[in-house]
Amino acid sequence: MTAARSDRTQLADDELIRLVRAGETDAFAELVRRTRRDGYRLARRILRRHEDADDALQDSYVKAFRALDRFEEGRAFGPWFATIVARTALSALRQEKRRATASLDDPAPEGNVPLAERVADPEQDPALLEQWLLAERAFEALSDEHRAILALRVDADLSYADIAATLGVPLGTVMSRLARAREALLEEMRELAPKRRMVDPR
Amino acid sequence: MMTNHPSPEDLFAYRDGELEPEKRSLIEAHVLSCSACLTRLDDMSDAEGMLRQGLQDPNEAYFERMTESVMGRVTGTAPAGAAAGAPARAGSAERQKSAGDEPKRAREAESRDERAGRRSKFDDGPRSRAPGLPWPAILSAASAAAAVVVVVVMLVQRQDAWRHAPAPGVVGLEEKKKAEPLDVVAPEDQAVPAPAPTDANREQPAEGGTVAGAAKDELLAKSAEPPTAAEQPSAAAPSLPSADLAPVLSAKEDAAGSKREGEIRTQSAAGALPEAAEQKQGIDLGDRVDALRARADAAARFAPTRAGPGFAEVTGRYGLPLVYDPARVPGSTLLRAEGDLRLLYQTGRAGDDSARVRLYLAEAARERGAGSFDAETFDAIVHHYRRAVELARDPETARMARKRLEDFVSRNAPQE
Repeated sequence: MTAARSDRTQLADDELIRLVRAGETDAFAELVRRTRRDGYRLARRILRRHEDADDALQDSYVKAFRALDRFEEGRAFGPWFATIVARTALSALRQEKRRATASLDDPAPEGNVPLAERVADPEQDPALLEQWLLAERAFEALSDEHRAILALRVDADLSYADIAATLGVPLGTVMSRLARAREALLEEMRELAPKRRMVDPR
Repeated sequence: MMTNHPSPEDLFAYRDGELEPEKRSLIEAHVLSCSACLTRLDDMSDAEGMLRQGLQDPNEAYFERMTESVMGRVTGTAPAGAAAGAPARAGSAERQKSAGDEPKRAREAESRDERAGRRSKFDDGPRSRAPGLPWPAILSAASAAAAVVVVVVMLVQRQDAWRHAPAPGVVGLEEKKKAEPLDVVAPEDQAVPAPAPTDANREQPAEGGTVAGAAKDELLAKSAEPPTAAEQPSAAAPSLPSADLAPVLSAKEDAAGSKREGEIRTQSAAGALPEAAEQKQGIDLGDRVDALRARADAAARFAPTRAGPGFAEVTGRYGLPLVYDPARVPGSTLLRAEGDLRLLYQTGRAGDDSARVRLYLAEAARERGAGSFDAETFDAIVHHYRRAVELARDPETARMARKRLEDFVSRNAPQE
């Protein structure tokens, strides 16, 4: 099975993985393209900062590439990769314990989108934008543990079992921690909400 | 029948579809008759839905660089400019490892080539932007250059045209937009599509479009950047990560509806353009093509939906310059125009002028605040400015927005 690069967009993950295993390493680029936005999002959720997310994402791809031989055929690449990203991001978080909270006034590094701009789409309903900003702020205020598990569930859309495997905790812990994280998120949103009246047309 | 409320664990697990069938029906019976639990679930769904959509990704240029950097690391050939992106520690280790695998891979590749004949002649390397140097490449490069000229001319023409009237010059791009799904969508049942001849693919939309549409198509094809799964969700074959991440995507779709594709393109356009402007020197063809593609996509997107009085009409009515200028716009005029500008913006008719409207709205909010801002107003104004910078299609708007932002922040930054 050979395919010009432009045809690779048409191949299923399995086939791309087979190509990479067979030595066509450039087929890996297509797998990267397919997963990079979701991967970035997950890493960014856990690590907060763009630079850290970028590091974690790249390291995750390198790890995934190396581990591709062990990849179970028939499994979907996306969730598998998401667990790699999550583990990489979590270990980066543990190692560095970076506590830099995203600030609205942080200068935007390359490719970075400051918190205040993440919600923005010119065509969106302004009330929705307001709500999004609120949700983002509430999320940012959560503990590392809660952010991580919410990201795994909400952004990576992993099953409880996958989350348990990723975090190395029992299923029951996933259930209780996730519930606490969600309660905390709602609580943060409630706390932030009254202060956020509409002050500006958006 | 459950009389007490279920635990949060069970309630959320129910919503996540993670409960055993018996427990599930038990919880369901309760939830359906308990408004408190229903509300709680709704709140949670809302919050998570917002989180799914709230985090805006970095621009396409970042993802392309990141991909190149990754490919450099895994293939052991660090691409130029990727070194900065690749952390040295892991990078060097990986390069060593990959280097060890290289001879084996090369042997495998050779034998594959023997089996497959000379199929790899036109195969791109992992990160080469242009193929080897056979005729197709030369012809394509030439037509890409021609396409650049055509598209630029088109865009310049329509830039003026649509502001006053529907732009006939945009027809080509619209045609292209309609034709686009044809060459990117994989039929649902086509799990293993036959390797389609690329050249035929490239020609296909051109037949349906005008000369300009064809030119843009060639340009797109030649950019050597196939559409990503994220950009073209429908292009992904079944049983892909995109299928597994479908809830995330569909959540976006719920909110964005049919405009989703256009919005994503707009985001990348917004991201790519300022950068293109800032990197005029030493820019390579790939970046230029990216920028042009982004611009052409944005143009194709905005043109067809334009209706009713637009930005020029509103600014004309109030005697405002197209780009805000503090020396020429009295505060009173600004405040009078604010309502119309806001409406323009909220109804999506600001279109290509979103950045300019943003700038005006920031100024109006600033005017209303008159020097004393609470934190929320401050955020809102900063937000407008930043978006204006990001969305700006012309350097003047970007420059003005940036200047006003800096000015505003330096004078009003909260003391914390």
